[in-house]
Amino acid sequence: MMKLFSFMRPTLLGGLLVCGSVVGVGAVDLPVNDYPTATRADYVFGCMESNGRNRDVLMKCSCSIDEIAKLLSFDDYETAETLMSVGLKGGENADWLLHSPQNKKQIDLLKMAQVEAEIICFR
Amino acid sequence: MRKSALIGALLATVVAAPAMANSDVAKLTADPNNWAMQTGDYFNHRYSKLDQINKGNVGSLKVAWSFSTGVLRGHEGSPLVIGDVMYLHTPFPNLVYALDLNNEGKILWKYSPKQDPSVIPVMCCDTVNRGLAYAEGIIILNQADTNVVALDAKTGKELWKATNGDPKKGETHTGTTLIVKNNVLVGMSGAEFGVRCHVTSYDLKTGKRLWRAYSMGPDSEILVDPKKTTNLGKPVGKDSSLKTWTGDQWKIGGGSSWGWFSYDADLNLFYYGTGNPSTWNPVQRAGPDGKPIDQLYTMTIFARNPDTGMAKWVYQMTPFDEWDYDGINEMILADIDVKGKKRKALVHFDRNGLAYTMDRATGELLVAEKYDPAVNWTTGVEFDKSSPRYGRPYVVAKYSTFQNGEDVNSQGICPAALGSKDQQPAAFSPKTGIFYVPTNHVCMDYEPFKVSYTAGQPYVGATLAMFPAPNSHGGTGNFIAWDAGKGKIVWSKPEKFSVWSGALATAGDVVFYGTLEGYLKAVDPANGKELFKHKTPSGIIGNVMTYSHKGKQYVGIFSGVGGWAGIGLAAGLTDPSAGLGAVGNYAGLSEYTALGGVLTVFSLP
Repeated sequence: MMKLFSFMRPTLLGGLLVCGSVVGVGAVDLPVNDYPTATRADYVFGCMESNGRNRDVLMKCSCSIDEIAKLLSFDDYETAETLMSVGLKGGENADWLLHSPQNKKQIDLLKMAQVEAEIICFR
Repeated sequence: MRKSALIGALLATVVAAPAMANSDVAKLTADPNNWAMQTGDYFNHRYSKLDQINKGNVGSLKVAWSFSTGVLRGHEGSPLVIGDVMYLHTPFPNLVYALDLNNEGKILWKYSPKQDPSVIPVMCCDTVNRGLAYAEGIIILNQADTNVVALDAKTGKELWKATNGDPKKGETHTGTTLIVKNNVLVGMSGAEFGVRCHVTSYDLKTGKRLWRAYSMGPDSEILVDPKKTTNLGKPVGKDSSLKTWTGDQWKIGGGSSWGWFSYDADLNLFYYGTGNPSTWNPVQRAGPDGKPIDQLYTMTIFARNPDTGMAKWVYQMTPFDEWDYDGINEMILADIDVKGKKRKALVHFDRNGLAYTMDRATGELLVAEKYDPAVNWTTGVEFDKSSPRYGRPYVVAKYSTFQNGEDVNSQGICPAALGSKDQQPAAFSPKTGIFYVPTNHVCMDYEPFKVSYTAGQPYVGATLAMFPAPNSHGGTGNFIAWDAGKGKIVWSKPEKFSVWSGALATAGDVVFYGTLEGYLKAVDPANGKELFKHKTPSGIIGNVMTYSHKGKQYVGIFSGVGGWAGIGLAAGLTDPSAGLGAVGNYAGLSEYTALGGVLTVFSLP
């Protein structure tokens, strides 16, 4: 469980992983995602901090953000990320962000994508 | 140097009193190379005459440098730039940095106040601070724990400290201060804790308390003259505030005063708004007859004399508040055409969704119109001077949380309690005569319930659910251009999230603002077309500022909202404070997030 939710935010090396291991599905294809490199790196960094600073974990975390990027457009990812970040602000004005059904749905989308990614990458 | 500026100010005060603000501040803000006040100038224009960055080249802006404040949480306000030095503040614990612009932003000094962390839980709306003030070689820091601290701008050494309130009662500071002549004008937060808020003046040189004006109470304590202070042109009369409260409720009346003050040197008046009455449950605040009662002077625009604190005029926007529509938002002073006549106007975008244009000399109400079409709690304000309801809004019964009653959920009220606009200040361009306004596009369900008052405990008394304005673009924000003379939206640019960042307009025909996703955006003042956007490291709730150093124009913005989203997801947290604890569990993460809020400074390549 810990591993699962370990972190958010994406990867660069994920590209290599997919190219290297998923043979036959277009050997030179980069993962289909529009996530900025900094966003991916941020995710992998956080993921490695909580799961281990080694090569194996780097590959898993990279895989994880690539899976998320397959499931969620960057727009959706950014929306969920913004909501969660502002939600941490606390106070009466931030409170509604976490409690409105529409916003909860956006955050859940990201969490579900993470669970998917965990199943695929962290088995 | 400091001495001569000081003497100059004193002389000026004596010789030409009416035209003198604080001569040093007036001089510094007149030079567009500086950003010497949080609001740009005494009129709160947030406008810069700098035009090196313009409509044609703003698209090629690049990050010139950045500075991490080392503090998490919301970063409101902006840095100041005076000559070769930039002064920055942070949220609690309210660190202050002086950076040498001649030496790649090297830290000249840092001030770290020691504050009791028990102040954090009594801050209703995050541990923000809206920035420093400067005059005559002195930096004024308005600490969360209500200490007002004067620092030597050269060394960071503490010159004096004045205690303005008691956090144990829920009194805190979040606002900046306004320096007028020798007065450091200080507001107060705490309406959510049943504090009786006030504005207090401290002497710039000594920190001695000069006067205090409460938002409600006896005439002698709220500094109104029953005969001379006017409300919509008429004298307010004796006990004008006391008469509008049941029993002793005024003693825990609220009426926060932490907004952006403005000042007109010719009229020698400063302006600010007051917040909501405590509690949020209107039933508990009803009159002795069970009917609505005004609760003066909450939700009120005040025009006061800075030397004495005495009120010249008042105007209450939302009598007997039923929705937490604080009146604290900034007062912008602008000389504009109003309905075909040149006016010395005061323009105010209230949380209640109405934009007010007043005559700032007399307090006459000129315009009150909705600046978000979603606003539905009122059908508008009575403009017939012969009506007993003159100047009062008409409340739609369906959206009256008082008429619907305690423990009844009033649904679909627009705007939500955070207002069609919160504190994030709008900009006014004298070049276009138009206001550029960051807004919320949010509605709410509101259910009042009974609460009892305990000092230092929240005194709220309502449960709220908020959501994007229905039947609109689905987002929770708009960035709009507003004609305050006509009371009309010129253009409106939809935003996915509420815009909680202060705007900046410049002579280069560019308007800047930030977004919660973290983008600094530049738009065309003529039509709102996006000219530039760049993602900063975190969400933006600070205010855009600009300055010029060695002939080059820079644009600066704080980013930093609650925290790193990753933390929340990592542990599946819903409690914001628990999120901060989680950071400590991972050493590497703590280093990563310790960078905290970031000031990003842009320039042309």
